[in-house]
Amino acid sequence: MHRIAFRAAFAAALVAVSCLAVPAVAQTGASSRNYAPGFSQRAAGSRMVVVQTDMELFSQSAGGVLEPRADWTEAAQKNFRAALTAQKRVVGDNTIALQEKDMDELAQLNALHGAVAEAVFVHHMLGAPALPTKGRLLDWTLGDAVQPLRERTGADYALFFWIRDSYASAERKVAIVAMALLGVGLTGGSQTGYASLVDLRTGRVVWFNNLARGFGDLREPEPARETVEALLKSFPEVAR
Amino acid sequence: MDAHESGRRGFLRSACRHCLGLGALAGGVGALAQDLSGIKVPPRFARPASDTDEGGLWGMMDREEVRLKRSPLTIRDKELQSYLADLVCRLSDGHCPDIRVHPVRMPRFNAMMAPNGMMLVWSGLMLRMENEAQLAAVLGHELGHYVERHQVEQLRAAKDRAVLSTVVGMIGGVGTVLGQIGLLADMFAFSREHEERADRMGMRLMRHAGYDGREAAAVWDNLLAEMQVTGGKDVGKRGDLFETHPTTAGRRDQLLKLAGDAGGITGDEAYRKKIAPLRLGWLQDEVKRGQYEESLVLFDRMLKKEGQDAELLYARGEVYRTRDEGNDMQQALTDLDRASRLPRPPVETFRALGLVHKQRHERLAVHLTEAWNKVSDPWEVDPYDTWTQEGIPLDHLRLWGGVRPGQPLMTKPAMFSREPDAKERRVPTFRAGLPPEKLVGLFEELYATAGTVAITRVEPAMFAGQKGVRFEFTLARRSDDLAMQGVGWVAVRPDPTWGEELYAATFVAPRLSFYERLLPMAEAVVKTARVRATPPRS
Repeated sequence: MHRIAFRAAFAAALVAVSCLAVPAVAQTGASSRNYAPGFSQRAAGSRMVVVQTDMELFSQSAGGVLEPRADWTEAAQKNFRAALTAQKRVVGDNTIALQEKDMDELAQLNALHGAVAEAVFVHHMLGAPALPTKGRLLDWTLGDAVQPLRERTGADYALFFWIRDSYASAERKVAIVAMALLGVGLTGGSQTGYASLVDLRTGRVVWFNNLARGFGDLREPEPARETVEALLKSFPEVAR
Repeated sequence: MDAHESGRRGFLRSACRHCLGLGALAGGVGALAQDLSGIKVPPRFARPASDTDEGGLWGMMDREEVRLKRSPLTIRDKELQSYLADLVCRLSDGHCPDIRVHPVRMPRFNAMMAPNGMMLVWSGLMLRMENEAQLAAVLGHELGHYVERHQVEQLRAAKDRAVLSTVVGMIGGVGTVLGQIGLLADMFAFSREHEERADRMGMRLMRHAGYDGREAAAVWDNLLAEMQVTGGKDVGKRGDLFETHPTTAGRRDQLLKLAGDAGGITGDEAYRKKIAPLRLGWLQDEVKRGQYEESLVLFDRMLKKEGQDAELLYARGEVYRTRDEGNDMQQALTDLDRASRLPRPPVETFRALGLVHKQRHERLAVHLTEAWNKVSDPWEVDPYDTWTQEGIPLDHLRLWGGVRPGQPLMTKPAMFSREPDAKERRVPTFRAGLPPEKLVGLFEELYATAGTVAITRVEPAMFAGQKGVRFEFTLARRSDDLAMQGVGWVAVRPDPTWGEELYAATFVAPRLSFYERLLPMAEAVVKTARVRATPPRS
């Protein structure tokens, strides 16, 4: 529990940074920053596998401590999947869904995606600090670690998600109002999400987007739809 | 001054003489009190007519005062300004309405009083005063010059009657207020006789205000100690008080004789509180002067009184760090580390610590065969440099250069990596005489803050031209369960000063895809590691 709390706290801290420094990041539109050099759309007739979202939801206590909430996470997984399925622009006939049991063997790959996505977010999207060797390009790869996934599914692309959300508890909301009266601003939860499209032949991250904002809710279907839409806003089309 | 006021002050003076007399009798030094009360404070004087030489001097000073007030050197701290004004009022025996005190931010021991009633007090002087009585002694001395109008006498004594216009002309050509003030000070260099008279008057003023006169002698004691370390050779060339206030060895004893042992207020705590909000900036100014030996005498003296003062420890550490000779870096580290552990150290302490580590591990030179991203910055307090290929969440190459016995391999394990039930954080620390497996153990401990570590292989290897060991390990990262793979090199080098120095490198990356791919790049860098003969100066 402790370790998960850190990851979310780290993400929350990044949200705070990004909101102050680069507000544009929160509402990233389609831009070259989201695409790997030379990539603009998915290949015609290509197949895509959607990997189960690495997701954790937290409640923020009055003092700001994050506690994981399994019930929220479970509801959010459902809402997220439903919202994703509704995105016909993204998922269609040539989309493969993985079973829960597949995830046991793919856990390390999913964890690796989390680390790569975090590196892309920190060094590429935020540039804090930017890595000179990357030349401001989206130039990351999961490498041959994706081979088992390609062999198992025969897909050309894989879509990964990593999401950590926190919401203010009732006491936290009271604290926010009370402190606001005293002129102190507290954060009332945050939403951090990474989405990566990975070319399974090379392991390259060909498209990436992130959410880092102080609003958004996955616990209810309607706001969950908004979250998925925002996260996949610049998602590449399939070539005709 | 009207008769009523004069009469009232006359009464007060006699009352004071009376009480001092009593005190003196009790102390058995009646003669001394008699000595001082023989000194008459001249009454307030009117502004001289503008067509006289003195009137011209006043007009010039008025203009300079306006410029000074607008200059960035003026310390615009209302509390300090009113504190100084109040102190001067209590000292000046009726001259208060004619005097304006301006604190200025200049890191030298100096104070100055112009004939028009403008008094300047340098921040370097205030930094050096140990209590209110010492400040009263210096200000009293300056007031002595003023009330007896020594400046005007000095001007008139000058052989060249055109000196005033010359000085006015020069002032027009000097750009900064600072330069002008220096010139003005030069103009008012006093004679020995004037100095003695001002000493006596200063003593009279401070004792009548209730201060312990012996502190006046302490001022000179402290200042002389500071000057002696540099032999006092260029004392007269640096705009210090000595330049315009010639001093002799006998001066201190004479002051002590005048002071008697009647005692009085010293005001240690009151003074400390007043300057506390501004002192850190003054300490930093002092360090920046680059007069390291003098600064060390000053800070040593201050620390003798306040050994647990984080600001002073920080300041002395900075002197050692910037001088960087012989044992200095070790001294800097000791002071800065102590400061950082005290409550509320200056934030600059951590930056300075980072710079010490940086200066130190620049002893390890590497040649980069391929492009790497350096991600450690000057604010980082860890004693290693960090480089990465794919980003901090993925991989890092860390280099330690010249860690000395007693020094930690990391300064602060991040809070989030602590287990909830952990009591004390463990900081792996290098010690002399460690066998190879213990050296490897240090790195095991280091990475244990990030997850579960298992050492999988240890073998002899060369690193940085020394015989050492190479070790491999796995790390199950606690934050995301990602399996990481790591390799490290560590060697200990004999050092004439420290006994031993540790040199090391580690490289860590995700076991999947990354480790195998990036390892050759890390190894290529590690192969080039060499120890520099002397650490570079910063």
